[in-house]
Amino acid sequence: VYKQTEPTDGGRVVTFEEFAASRLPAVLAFAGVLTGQRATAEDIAQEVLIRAHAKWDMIGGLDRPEFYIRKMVLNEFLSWRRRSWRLVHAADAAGATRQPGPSMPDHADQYAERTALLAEVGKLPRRQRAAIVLRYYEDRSDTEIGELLGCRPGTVRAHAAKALSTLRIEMQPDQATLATHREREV
Amino acid sequence: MRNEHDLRSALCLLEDQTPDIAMVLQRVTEPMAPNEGRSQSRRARRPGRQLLTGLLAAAAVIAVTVVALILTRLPGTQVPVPPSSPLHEVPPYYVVPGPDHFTPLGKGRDRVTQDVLIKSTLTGKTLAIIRPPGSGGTLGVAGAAADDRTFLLVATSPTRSELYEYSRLYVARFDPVDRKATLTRLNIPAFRDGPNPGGVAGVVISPDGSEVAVAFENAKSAQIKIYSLPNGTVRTWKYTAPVSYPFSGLGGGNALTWSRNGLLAFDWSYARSASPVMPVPPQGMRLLNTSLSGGSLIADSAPFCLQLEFGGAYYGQYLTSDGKQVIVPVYSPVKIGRRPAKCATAAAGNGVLKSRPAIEEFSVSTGRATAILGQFSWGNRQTLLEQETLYWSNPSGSVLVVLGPAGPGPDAGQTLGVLSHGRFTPLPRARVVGYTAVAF
Repeated sequence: VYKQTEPTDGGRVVTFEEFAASRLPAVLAFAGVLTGQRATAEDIAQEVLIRAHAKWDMIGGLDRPEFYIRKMVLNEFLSWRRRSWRLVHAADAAGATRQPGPSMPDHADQYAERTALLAEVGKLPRRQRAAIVLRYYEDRSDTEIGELLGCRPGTVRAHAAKALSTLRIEMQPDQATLATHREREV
Repeated sequence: MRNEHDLRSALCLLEDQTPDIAMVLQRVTEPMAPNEGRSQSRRARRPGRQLLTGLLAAAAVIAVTVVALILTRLPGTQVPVPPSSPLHEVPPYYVVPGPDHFTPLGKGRDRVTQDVLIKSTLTGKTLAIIRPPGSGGTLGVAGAAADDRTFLLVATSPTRSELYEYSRLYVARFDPVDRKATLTRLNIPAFRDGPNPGGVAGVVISPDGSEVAVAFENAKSAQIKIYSLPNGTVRTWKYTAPVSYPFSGLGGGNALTWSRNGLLAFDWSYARSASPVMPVPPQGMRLLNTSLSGGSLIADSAPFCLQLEFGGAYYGQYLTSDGKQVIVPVYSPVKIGRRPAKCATAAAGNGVLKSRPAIEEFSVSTGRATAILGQFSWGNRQTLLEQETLYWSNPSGSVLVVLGPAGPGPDAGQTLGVLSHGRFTPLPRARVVGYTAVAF
């Protein structure tokens, strides 16, 4: 499944160092957006990379090592336990005080609306959250998302629809059409 | 109604939460501390060196074993901890999660099991290993009673659901003579643990080990239930006014603490803040009078204002067991004799620090700062303060177990240690990465 559609590295085995230099920043950004908490993202990335590092001979030979790592990040996120019981950072609450403040270029009310929206995103069931992060942050097709989440594109659409409904986000008709069209192209 | 653009813009704000690549990679490739697991997976195996590495490792093990055997058989040659060491002033045993054990399930998924280790404070040695009850699952640390050998643990069993799992509370009683721990399931209903906010926010065992308090919350209510272990009775304190996850500050290093005089300290995030659904940092602490039979969470508790400069930037408050002091790591110490700023605001700080963070003590009766117990001198303290967690305090607050610097430089990492009279003494073999759920 990891050898089908992603651009390859010419059949050459990618070393862990090469992966870290070129692809890891995007994976870490994905983990940050997915979890919404730097400390949790760090822990998840660490867990994943420790395991990936140990079996890099296999992963580096895949056509899409980044895709595989993302899938590991997703699995780790979906099975991540409540932070009270595990090895976690204590930075979550302190980190919340360091969210970018209203001095951002946005208007204050826009910023407040987005932070409120993010808080609601944080309350979504994890699969729904993963589905919308993959679709609206990573711009992945529902087929790809299904591949990453281990479900059918129809299930992805169901997750996304539920999430959008919870978040009270209106899909413009043309956007809905576009999404379907994108699916057909894939 | 929001649109897709709003969602994309909001998600982009979360890029701010991207982990630091250097820190993540450092953790992945650095050697493991002796008490951590997965040591084999930390370093990439190089086939050409495996034989030589194996021989060297075997030789090293033999050499160390021989030396250790010689040393342990010579009277008086064991490295003693001086009687004056502050290590003698803290509980002799503590519990810490053991290494994860991964069992591949295929398709990139693993089953994780985890033990809990009982360790010696003086030597760092593992004295007993507590396995998860039943068939697999993980065991985590939730607290300790004041008798030095009773620990509260939470067992999480694997379920078919990817979203939820069920956890049960257990008490482990350690017998230092036999070096065995007895695990007893508590007569408290299993609770669901999952990705949606809500559920169990915190757990603590009473100093005498006879009761367990559990903080529950959801979007509509918050409550603390106290379960009596001998007779199973339950007392409940509730808060049902609209509130947005007021216990959100609990968890990680921010635990419930319970004093011998019956005060139970809990974080209470400010209700009806400017952004009602935004997780706000702990806005204040409340002290619940647990000698009552139950009732209102607010009416039966008193606020203890710890709103400090920069928007309540503290983490990991600790009510001493005599109930007279509250100890907190603070970004910006309050002048001795002064009270912290008013706590009725929800403004987030900008993270700009002008003074050296510290571990500071406040009087419960007056609310005033009474002492600065320690200020570590690390290079970039601003980024490290949040990990400066309190794990234990003696009744008066003069001896603490905290997470502190493992060495002189900012890259030395962290270790558990004793903070006493302004001096930090690391515990042997107690280096940790990030916050670790430990109980003394």
